[in-house]
Amino acid sequence: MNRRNFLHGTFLAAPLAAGTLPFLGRETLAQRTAAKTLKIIHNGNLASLDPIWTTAPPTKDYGFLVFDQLLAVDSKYAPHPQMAEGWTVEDDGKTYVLGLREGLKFHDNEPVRSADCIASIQRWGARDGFGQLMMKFMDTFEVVDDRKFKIKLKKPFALLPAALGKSNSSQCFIMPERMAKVDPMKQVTETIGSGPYRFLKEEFVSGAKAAWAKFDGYIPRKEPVDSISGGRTPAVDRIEWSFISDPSTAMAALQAGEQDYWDAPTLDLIQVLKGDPNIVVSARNPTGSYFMLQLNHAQPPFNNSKMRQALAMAIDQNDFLKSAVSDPSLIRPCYSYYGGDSPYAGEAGAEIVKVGKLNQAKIALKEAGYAGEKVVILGVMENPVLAAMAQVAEDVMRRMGMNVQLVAMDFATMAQRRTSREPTDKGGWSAFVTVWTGSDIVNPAVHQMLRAGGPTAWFGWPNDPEMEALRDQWANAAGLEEQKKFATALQVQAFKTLPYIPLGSLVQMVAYRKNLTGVFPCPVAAYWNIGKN
Amino acid sequence: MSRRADIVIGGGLLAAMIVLALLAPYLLTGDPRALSPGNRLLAPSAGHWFGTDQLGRDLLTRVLYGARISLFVGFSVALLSSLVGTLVGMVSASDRRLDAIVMRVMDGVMSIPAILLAIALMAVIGGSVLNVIVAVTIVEIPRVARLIRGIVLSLREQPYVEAAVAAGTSRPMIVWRHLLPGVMAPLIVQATFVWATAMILEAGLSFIGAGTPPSTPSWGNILADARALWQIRPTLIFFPGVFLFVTLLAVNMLGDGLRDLLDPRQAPET
Repeated sequence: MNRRNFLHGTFLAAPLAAGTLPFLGRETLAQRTAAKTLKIIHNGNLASLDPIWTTAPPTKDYGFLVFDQLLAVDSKYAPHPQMAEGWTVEDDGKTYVLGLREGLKFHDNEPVRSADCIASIQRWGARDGFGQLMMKFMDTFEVVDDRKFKIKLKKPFALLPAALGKSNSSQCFIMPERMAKVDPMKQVTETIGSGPYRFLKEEFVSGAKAAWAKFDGYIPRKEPVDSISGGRTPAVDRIEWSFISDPSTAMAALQAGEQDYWDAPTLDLIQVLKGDPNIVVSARNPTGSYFMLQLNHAQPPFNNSKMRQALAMAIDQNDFLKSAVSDPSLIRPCYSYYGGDSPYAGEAGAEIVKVGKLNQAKIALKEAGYAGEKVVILGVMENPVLAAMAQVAEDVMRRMGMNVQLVAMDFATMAQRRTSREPTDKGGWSAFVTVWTGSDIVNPAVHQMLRAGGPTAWFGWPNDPEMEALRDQWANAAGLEEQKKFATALQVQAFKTLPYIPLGSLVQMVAYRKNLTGVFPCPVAAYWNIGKN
Repeated sequence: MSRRADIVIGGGLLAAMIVLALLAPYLLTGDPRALSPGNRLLAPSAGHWFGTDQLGRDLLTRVLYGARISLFVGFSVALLSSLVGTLVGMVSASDRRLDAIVMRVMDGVMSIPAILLAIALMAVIGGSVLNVIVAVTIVEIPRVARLIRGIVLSLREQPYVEAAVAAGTSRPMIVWRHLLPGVMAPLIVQATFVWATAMILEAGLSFIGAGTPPSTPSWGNILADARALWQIRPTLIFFPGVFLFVTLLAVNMLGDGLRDLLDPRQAPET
């Protein structure tokens, strides 16, 4: 032993023997804090804090942490009480009576009242497709007391509980009345909800990080979790999101243990992650991801249905899907406006998107009268799959002979720019590639992109009264067979109108470290119930 | 390494790169933008010497076409910033009051980090190759202008310039006959460094998505596309990286050699 080793051993051994360095033998404060903090690599910046105003996935995920819902659907899309104690139906299905659970309160410790719920339903009903459908049946709201209210309908609407408890696209989150009274076309700025986690606004750095703390006043349900229904238990004290746009950096952070969970790992890297014994890779959302080429129906050239049809003829789903991932087991072409697990999935009317012939598309484009109008594609470059598909779309349009420009941007910029209805030379757009989950497109009610009410429709603003009428007929249909008939007719009409062009489906994966517990199958990115050893 | 070796190796590599870039359409029949998603991420092979990228595009074709963008941007910026910077520097040195104003403006521009200024300019004028040239030229002009101003201030105190003034030679003629030749040597050297800097800036801007459009192959774009996939296909980073490295090395070696040749005081002792 040399002198240095001797001194080193002596300095360490003496205090240990005396018990004066307890941190060496026990869990440190930092370790305990780390075990109570769930660190998530989140795909896409949190550009908006209003889940009613936008359907952007990061905002939706934020909404599920901060807010709660009156009802919530299970994995079979059957509604269950969530904030509600339960509900009763009166007056031959024309009145729903909802009672709130005792002790529910917002993050400012104010109690959740019937007035908050009514104002929240009204704001959501002004923006969401299913909400708008429900509002067509609405007569009045009636406050019975602070914990009970009635929803009175003009005629029965059996889908009301499913609407209030929907899991996908835009959810009916309950906000304090003052927030819910904000114009639905404007964003709320407050972040007060009654969900399991409080948003730490002072720690939010747009584009870098966001954080939440466990809300001690939250009372989870006792039932086991099933999709978004059941107990939403805050299993960690703190949740942190890091916005890491570079997939290699994200993967390295997960592998090094600096992060716990990656909500959207790049599919090409799945094999590398699977080879790491500390990482679990799973398809947490069993319904998959569905990609769409959204077209702007309000501006030339895609305000002309013939142009949209010409473009649809040129699209080959396999080119788009293969551009995203090499593993064929993750690729699922889908020639339907409904997801593969929808009861309405089928290829009725889908002939136009199965053509996949460039020459035929060129002829159709010429016949449609294309005169060189500029096509601007909004390309989200931070997401490798969306970036690849945007480039494939540009390639297809260029080869068709269109005057096309692919504008590179991040998701947050795209989410802002897609709201513009201006011409392309004034900051508008013509097309962008977007992605929804299978749960988002499972039926005509939740399917935001099948809304065709012009200004009230989703970005792209398709306008087809026949589609709107068919959706209403579906909502009024008596039995399953009749519902399927109208849902199919709606799809056939949609393939004529082409609100968007389906690009097919990919299996959606998440990756997380093995020490996480309670990761449950869910069609949305819900982070309650997830703990950490 | 001797100055002559620097010039020969640097110049030779740069010339080779220029020839490859110019002949790119004739060396290969492929379209650098032609997608083939079914052939994505292929390893280097006889059919695709550098392999293919994530959209099935031939990487060799894209790297060679990328050389055109990088070299064109570098050369254009070097030329434009030299011309404008020389003009600004000479005008500034010729008038004391104007000098105070112009140099404060140049100081202001130089106080902003080059890449940040370039990003800001690109955000305003939009992404295209020409706009990249404009943005990077604006970033580089102050550096040239400051150099030229300093040299002209020194030159105008020289006896031969004072003699010309005393002889009644017109100011344009003094500039043309006596000052301009004096600044040419350092200007050429500076231009080579501007060239290299411009190529790095272009690659950086394209890498972060603020430069050339995604469909236009440039080395920055190619590297940006590959950053998510380098673990599974390292060649996607390796080949464009090597081309960028070799070209920058060549330009810098040429610049060093020219500096030593044109300014003997700077030459290493032999």
